[in-house]
Amino acid sequence: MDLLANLGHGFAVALTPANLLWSLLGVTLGTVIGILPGIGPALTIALLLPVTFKLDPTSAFIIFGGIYYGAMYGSSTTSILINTPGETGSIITAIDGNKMARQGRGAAALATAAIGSFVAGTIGTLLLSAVAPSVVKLALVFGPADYFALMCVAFVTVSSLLGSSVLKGITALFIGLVIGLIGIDVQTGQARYVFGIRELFDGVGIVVVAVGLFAVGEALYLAYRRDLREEEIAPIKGSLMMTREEWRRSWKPWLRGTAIGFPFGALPAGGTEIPTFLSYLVEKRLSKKPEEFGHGAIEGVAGPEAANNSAVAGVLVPLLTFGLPTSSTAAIMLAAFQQYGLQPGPLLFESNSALVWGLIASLYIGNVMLLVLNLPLVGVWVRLLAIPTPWLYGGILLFATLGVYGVNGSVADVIILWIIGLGGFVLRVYDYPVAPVVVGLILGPMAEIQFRRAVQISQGDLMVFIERPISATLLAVAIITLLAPAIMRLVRR
Amino acid sequence: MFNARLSHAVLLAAALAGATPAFAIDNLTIMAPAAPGGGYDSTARTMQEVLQATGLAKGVQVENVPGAGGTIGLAQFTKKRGDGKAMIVSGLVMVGAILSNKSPVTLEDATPIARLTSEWEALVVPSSSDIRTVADLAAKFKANPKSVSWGGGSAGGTDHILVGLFAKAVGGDPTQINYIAHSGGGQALAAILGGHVTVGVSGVSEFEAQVKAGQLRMIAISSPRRIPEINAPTLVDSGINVSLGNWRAVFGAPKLSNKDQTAMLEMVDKMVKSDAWKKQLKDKGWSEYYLAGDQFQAFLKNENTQVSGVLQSIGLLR
Amino acid sequence: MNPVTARADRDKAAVVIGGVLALTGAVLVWQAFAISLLPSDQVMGPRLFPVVIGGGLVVLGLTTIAHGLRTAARVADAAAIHHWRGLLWVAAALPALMVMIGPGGFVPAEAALFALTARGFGSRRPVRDLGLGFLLAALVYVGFVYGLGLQLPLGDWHDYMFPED
Repeated sequence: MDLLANLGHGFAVALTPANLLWSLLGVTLGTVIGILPGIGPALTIALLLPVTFKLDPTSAFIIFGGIYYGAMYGSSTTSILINTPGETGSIITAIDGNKMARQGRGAAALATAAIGSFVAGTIGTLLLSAVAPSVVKLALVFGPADYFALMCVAFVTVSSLLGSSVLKGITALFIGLVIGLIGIDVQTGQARYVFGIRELFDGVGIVVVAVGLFAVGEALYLAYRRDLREEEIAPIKGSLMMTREEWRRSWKPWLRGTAIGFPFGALPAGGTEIPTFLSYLVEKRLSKKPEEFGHGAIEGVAGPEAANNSAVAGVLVPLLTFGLPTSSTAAIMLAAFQQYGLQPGPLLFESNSALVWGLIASLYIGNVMLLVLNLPLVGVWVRLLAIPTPWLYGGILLFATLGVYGVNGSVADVIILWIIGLGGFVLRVYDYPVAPVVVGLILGPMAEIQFRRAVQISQGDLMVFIERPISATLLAVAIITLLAPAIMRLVRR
Repeated sequence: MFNARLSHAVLLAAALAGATPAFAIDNLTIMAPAAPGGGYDSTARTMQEVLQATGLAKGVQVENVPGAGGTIGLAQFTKKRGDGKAMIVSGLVMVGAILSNKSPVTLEDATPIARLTSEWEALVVPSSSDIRTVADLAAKFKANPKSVSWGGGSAGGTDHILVGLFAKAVGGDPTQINYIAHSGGGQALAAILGGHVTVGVSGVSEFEAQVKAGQLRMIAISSPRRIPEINAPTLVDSGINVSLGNWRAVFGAPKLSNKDQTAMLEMVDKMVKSDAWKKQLKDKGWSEYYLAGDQFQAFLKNENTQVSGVLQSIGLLR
Repeated sequence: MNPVTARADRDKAAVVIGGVLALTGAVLVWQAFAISLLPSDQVMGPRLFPVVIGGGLVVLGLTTIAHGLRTAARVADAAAIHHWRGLLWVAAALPALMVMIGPGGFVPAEAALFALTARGFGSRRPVRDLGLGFLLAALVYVGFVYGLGLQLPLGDWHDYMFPED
């Protein structure tokens, strides 16, 4: 078969000692920057471009691929251990992962995240090598109306994040939506709610909000609630690895997460965050014990972590086959291709097959390396929790501010971080969940822009949402998903 | 204020030490008023590489200050009064952002050194579209402006400005332009490939691969003269008197001494004439668009008038 | 947790929060009409979502107030120990960083943030905390500046001392 022959050639390229070394370098670097909140793969690759340009393109892209995959492995670590997502794709992981860590099952949470990432990364890469072009053709059919309908489906996922009170959960969502309004309106270039503050023109960053609500808000709250701090982290219980029960509960979420993540990555406006929301919702709805979610359910870690990694593999599909960047990291990689005088797109597979298949093969290898690198590290990471709390939280705030300040060098961002942190503290004191805020902030602006684009293209005709089959189907799915629990209750009665 | 005084002190100390050679500027800092990865950033980093490789400057640092279309970086930069070791990358997008964001500082507050590069814009349609030439597009636009949806970058950016110029030149109503702004090239490209918008507007290099593969048809480019490597007519050739480049330039700090300004002009002149620079332009697909000193200043003035006129006619500015 | 019967038959905190939410929503709606429109914008312009979201916030705020008036205050967690001083130390850590990072530079500013946070979490050895914070920040600085080529501020004092750098 053609595919196998191509992959064979790819492995021949990737398995040279030099390229193995570059791959190791990439995945290690990726893991490190994944752990640091605020510093993502896009920024890292952009900064490395001048250096890697001195290498041959194959080696450079092997490093980039390693960084991209590695970042998704690393980002779950801080989510689980210290409730501070390293990348936006791991926000959902913090909810149940951190609860597990506090119950002494941090090692199992880290393990299920790492293995889930491996499973998803490997299957995702396999899909990338097998089905690539047809997926993209399908993804291009998605127009603004369809995206808006998709956002509606994603909004329903908030119902799985609400916590104890529906009113409080929805209020938290709306707080996120309000924050999302701040900044210049993409469509018209008009400023909204910036109150003349120039630093707000580009909006409030998702990273600043996530780090502020999770890391800073949490630190403030724990400093205030001395009782929680003292009883906080249980010692590691049981074996370091996952128990048989945890394996049993993890494998299906891994596969489902993979299936959800990959197509989202391939969508031009998909991203790595939304599939993690969807995966969490699906796992909660399918679970026999939905009440465990939010209190340390391992499925809530396994599913989303698989979803974000397979989304990353999905992103490479439109990039390599159509030259279409669907994430900021992909956009930087596209720029890197162009620097080498290469044009990703339909012709790349023919004109530079050694490069493409070498890159794909190195992604398989990188995945194995990441698993080998991350599983033994689990033991090291959980020991981080044994650091005395004053230093642990001092360190958390140090890295949080590094991520927020270091990238833009803007004191204004630190001020915003502080304000959001105080807000996060207030939300915690009054028992409002914080995750819906981030969900609202991510989905709100996307939903608005897609809605307005759809209406603008249709010249004001709202029927587009119903006339387009994809959009109509998705809207129906959203409504059914929203009403399903109520219907089930009625049926049971 | 504090910073300005400080850099004065720095300058004074440097002058006393007597360590400023005619060129080979030591410890030059180039500000890219954008995040790593974008056009300003890669211009700054390309300068950094070429200046160091050719020995025209030593210890060059790139400083990223993103935000508000580059105006946050510019505001910070204009505080470096008289600093002979500071430069900022700017361009057409910033001219527009200064106007539409009502920025308190403008490019007049900095010292113009030279325009360096340009990326030309392309108009593309899906290969299945019934629009075959610019004339078809102009006719369709004039008949029903709203029925033509334009997919491009952010509102008020280069792509939007080009559409505004186009509308005016063909005698259509610029306020009726149905412009769909996208953040990031990928999203606009996807909208065009998927046939969700009528026309795509963006930098030539954004569409190159898809045009070569036959998925998109390039109906015009925005350069004043035809470009040999690109198989598309210019707008001017098609009878529409519009040319627009997404140019990038460098500026020095405000109130620069004559000596420092001359040193920068000389340095940049030597840089653009070096082989290393020419190779970089070729690799990155940028066109050489060098214009220095007073001529550049005149160009800048003209560009400012043109851009503000277009933004007003679209209604982004009043 | 020991459920303690609350005295008040209304949740004052909820009433206040609801009030703040409703007020914020009202301001959002009011300010939405200050957003300028393009001549080509119709109903679906940049004001639509602000009005919808602001309106939603008003409804949520009023519901929260109604809820607060009907229900008793949340039963206090009997085991809770509120430690205002700890909160203030940690809350002061970020402002300290903002003030110090310009003149003092990245490393001293982060060291101060580290020490203040540690103090808030009950550490009583500020000198050791400062030293540790300094070391950690210095490591990060080296990794960033030399590893990634990102610039972190050295501080204004450095410009005075070493103007040639």
